[in-house]
Amino acid sequence: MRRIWFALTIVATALFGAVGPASAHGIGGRTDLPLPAWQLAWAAGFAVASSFVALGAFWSTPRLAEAAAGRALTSVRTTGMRALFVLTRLFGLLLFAIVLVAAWTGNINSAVNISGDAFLIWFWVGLQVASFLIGDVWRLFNPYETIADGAAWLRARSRGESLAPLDTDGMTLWPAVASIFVYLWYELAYHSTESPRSIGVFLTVYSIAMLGGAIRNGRSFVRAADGFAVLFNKLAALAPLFVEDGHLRARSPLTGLSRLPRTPGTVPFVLVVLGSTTFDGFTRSSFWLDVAGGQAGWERTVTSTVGLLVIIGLVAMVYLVAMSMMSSLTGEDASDLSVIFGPTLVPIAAAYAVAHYFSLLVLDGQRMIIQISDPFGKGWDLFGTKDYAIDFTLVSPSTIAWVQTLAIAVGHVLGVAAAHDVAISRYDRRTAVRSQYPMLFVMILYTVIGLFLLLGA
Amino acid sequence: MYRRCVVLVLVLALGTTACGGDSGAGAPGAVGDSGGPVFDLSIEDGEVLGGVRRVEASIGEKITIEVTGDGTEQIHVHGYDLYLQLENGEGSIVFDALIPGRFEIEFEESGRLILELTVK
Repeated sequence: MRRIWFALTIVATALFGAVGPASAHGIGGRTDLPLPAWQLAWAAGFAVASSFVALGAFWSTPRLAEAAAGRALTSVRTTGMRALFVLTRLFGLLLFAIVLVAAWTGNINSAVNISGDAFLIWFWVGLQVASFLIGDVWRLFNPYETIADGAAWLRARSRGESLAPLDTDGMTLWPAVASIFVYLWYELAYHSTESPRSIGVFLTVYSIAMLGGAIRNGRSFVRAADGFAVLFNKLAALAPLFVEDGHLRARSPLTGLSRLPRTPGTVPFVLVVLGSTTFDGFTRSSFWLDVAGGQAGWERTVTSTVGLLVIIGLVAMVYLVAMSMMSSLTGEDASDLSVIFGPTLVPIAAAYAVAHYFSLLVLDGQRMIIQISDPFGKGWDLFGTKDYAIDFTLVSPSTIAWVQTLAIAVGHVLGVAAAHDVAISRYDRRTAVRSQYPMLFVMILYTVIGLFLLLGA
Repeated sequence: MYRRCVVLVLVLALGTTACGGDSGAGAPGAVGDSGGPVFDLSIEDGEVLGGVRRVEASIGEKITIEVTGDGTEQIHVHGYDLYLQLENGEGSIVFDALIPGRFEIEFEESGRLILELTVK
């Protein structure tokens, strides 16, 4: 297995080298104005104040877990629902195919080729937002699950058997940590992210890894190894809608965090995602401009890779230091604690994603309106939207700043609330309050860092 | 607990909108102001001399970017989506700063950043 990974890496690197930066990029060249200082101060002050209020107003029974069961809305096992599911899955497969074909054969100008905006904006950012606002909607479309499950079902049929149930015993998320890191490296460190051919290489290599792994290890492999599906699934713990026992259910937002399975590798996974968004914010700073601004090509990729690893390391270190502090306050093992409190990082990750990528979705994302009429950049006009003019003033800088500040502050409050709930479900009130001091320290630090990065100073 | 969280969020929202108000939007500068900012860039060996600068302009101003040096690079202003083809290493681009934000200006071929423009 390791030889195959090694070979894939060599091939991928060679292909990346071959496709090169030769195309225009439409994504990521516009970023937000620096956050006004008064807004930063207000939000940071609010975060600190609300943390202490929460500490003082510590509720005495775990509330989230009680409400996590929600109530059933409708069955998903009816014929109609199953048919709908098949349709959405086929649609997902179709979209995936279109993006792949556009990436490999479409116009190399990333502004007119649908692959860049579809993958990097609507998929990466859009689905994160949809996941924490609505529920794990990617499960309706996920092409890898469709292919893996479909192939397994066909194989079972050919043997006259029925499809074996999914076996996730002993599953860890470490493969997903690796795959999401590779994507984040591609998105943030690699110098030619938006180039359609580069996207083609990335998606092809990623798909081969996913499906190859599924052939070898069974269809449960994609559940452990597909970083995208894992991320959307974790974020969906914040959302109201979920499916359980054959029913679509609704619960209060955030309560799903108490039910997040403590699969090994979950905490490193969230820390890598959080660290990467932090690095993205860091690249807007004047420090980074001085260090890497004049660099291009592979030189910039190397600098950015180092930066990405350093920032992820720092973000992880903050969390682990807090866990060891909590360990001495509660007498529990630090690595147990880091797993138990891991879910409280999910609201922070969601908040960071909104703060950094909201304007990308709403402004640059409008390019999709033009691209659906001409996905391959050949001059078509399928839906009559070819002449749509992107309105970069659709949301004002003050609206963007408001959304960013609100997102980070709300994420902070939710993270603190979730941490309190976990603490009170494990300890008596006195120990619980004491255990939260390191946790508040972490939350406030992440919040202040998040806000500070928005200054783009 | 849930209601407390909702109250906290509402307080936050009210606070954000009440204080400071619309400090981000600002009034547009004099439209048609032909005396708008001029930014000079000197290019040598595919890189800008003096390193990548951060420059600012007010919304509504007429921005001029003048480039001198060697090479026949193509310069791309992101966001505004403007292209300038250098001839004999010379060229200038004039446009109205109507979109607020921070924009990268770079060489199309190498992807190398040459200027960062902030429009407020």
